[in-house]
Amino acid sequence: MRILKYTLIDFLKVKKKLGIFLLLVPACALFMGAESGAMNTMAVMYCLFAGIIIAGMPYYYEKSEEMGFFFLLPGRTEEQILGHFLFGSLSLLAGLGLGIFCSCVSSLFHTEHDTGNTLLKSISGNEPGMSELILLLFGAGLICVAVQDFFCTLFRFESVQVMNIMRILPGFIFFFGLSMLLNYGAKTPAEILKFLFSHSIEAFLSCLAAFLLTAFLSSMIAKARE
Amino acid sequence: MKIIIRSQSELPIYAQIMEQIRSQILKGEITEGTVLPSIRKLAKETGVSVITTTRAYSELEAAGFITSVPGKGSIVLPQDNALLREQYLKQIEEYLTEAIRTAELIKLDRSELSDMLEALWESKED
Amino acid sequence: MELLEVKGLTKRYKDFLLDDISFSIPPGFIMGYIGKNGAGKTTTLSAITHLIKADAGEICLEGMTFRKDPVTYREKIGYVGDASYFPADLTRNDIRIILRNFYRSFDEKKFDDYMEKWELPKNLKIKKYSRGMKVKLMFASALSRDTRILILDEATNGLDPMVRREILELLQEYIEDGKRSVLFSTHILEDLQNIADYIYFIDSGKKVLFDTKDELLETYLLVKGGTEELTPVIEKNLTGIVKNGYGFEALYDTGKGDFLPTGFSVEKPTIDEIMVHMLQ
Repeated sequence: MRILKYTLIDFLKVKKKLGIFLLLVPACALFMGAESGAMNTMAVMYCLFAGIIIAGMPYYYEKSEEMGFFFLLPGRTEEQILGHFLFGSLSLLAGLGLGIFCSCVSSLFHTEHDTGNTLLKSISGNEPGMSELILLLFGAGLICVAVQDFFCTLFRFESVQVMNIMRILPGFIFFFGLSMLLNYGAKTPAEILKFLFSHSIEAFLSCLAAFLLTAFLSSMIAKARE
Repeated sequence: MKIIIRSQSELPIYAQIMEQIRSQILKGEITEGTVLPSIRKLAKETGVSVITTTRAYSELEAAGFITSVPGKGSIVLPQDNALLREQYLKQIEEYLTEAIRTAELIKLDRSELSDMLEALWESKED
Repeated sequence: MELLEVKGLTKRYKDFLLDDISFSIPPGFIMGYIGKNGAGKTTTLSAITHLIKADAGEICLEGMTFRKDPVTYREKIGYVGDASYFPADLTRNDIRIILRNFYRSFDEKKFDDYMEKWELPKNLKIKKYSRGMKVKLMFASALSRDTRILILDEATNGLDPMVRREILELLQEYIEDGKRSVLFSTHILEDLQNIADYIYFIDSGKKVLFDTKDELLETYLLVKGGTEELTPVIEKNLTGIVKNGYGFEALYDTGKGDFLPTGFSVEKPTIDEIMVHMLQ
């Protein structure tokens, strides 16, 4: 399928940089997690954050001089855009995988010291509720990537500045927003989170649906413009 | 077959090609039945445009030097005497006209030119 | 059927208008597309390759428009520009992978042969390539596929004469089968002087002339003489008169002029000279 081939191009563009990410991110994840005592969630979040950043990296290469080859390829615009979105989701998935892996590694070290996460505890009672959290985080990640890709698609010929902002902003909102939430959110958002928690699968599916919808919308818009 | 193109020449390139092939045929350097290189091959080898070689060949064909056989290419026709003779006569006429023009420049008159011709012909026979 | 037909191509920018450009190229020929910088050459070629969308007009490649089948349309075109259009961080192997995945007719062996012949390094990022290397990579990607038209936008700029010569030979080889054509925009007009079949001259977005190169070179003569010898009558018959301290130079249109006074130096112009004088 041609969409996959466009995804392959994104991968070829970023593969050189991945080396650094593969070393740095898990290291940071494990280290920072150790600090805050919420090892597991921090690890997953860090890795997802990395996934969001990587998802936005191919857009860095969408400067007009370097795009000629890409646009001349025999393929449809919709396929190009969907290829980007697919890359974004695969990148998130990889981040998730890495995060879970780091989680597992960290749990080996923290069975006794795990003060746990106040928020998690308050929402889910005594059960750590990791899987629900992961699902929600992944859903949030999908939304971030969707927003990022949508704006980059819209603005890719108009404004390099918007694209640059959009490659960084959603990721940071994700990361810092959630960090704050995890640390302080025990009070008011607890109700919302409690609700989300118990309906984590539905929440995730709606995020997924929103992601897919944004993907198709972007590809239609790009095609209409062409 | 030898083709040399001079960009400085007064003649357009198609005429140069035509002229050179023509004279080589007349001199017998290119024999009848020879298959000439295709228009495109000639263009590529000499570094000129296809339209140019096409024109050279079509002029040669119009003058009766070659004919194009579908599937084979352009073939040099047997030069029967009448046509050959005509070409040579034409050439002589050109040379003589040139001689007359040059003579006029230095104000050499008709009888003096005639005398020159006689003298040259005599010395050639020696 | 013409290989490429452009009808009424129009594109509006803020301070430039490409106005109603039409021409066609039969299969097996080379067309030179000339004009000074900013005349509209790149806009025209970008519209044909569909890197930009035209505001009006129709472009048919072997009877097919982009809209009808964008995939096949793009397969048929080999494009080389004057700057590298590859993402700078990729290597030639990355390009090879992409070409293999996207183009049905991509011939890997041919591509590798070009890489070897032109000694393009294997694992070097394209951003580290010299200009000549980038152009060669673009050519290799275009030539190792089965295309119907090669579109070159100032592709030989900044290349040394030996490489340029090699490329011109490649172009002639490309059209040798009589089925494929080349559209070559350049302002290195000596490249076109010998091998071009047709010339399209554009200025400020409008057509100046379109003719066979042979016809063009036979129609115009370059006339030179002393400035004192220029009477108003003579001036009327000449185009693009350029005067310097020692004389003048102008074009004479053998089709239009009433007479050519003897006594002037007359020679065959180059395409360069025709262009310069017509732009006066």
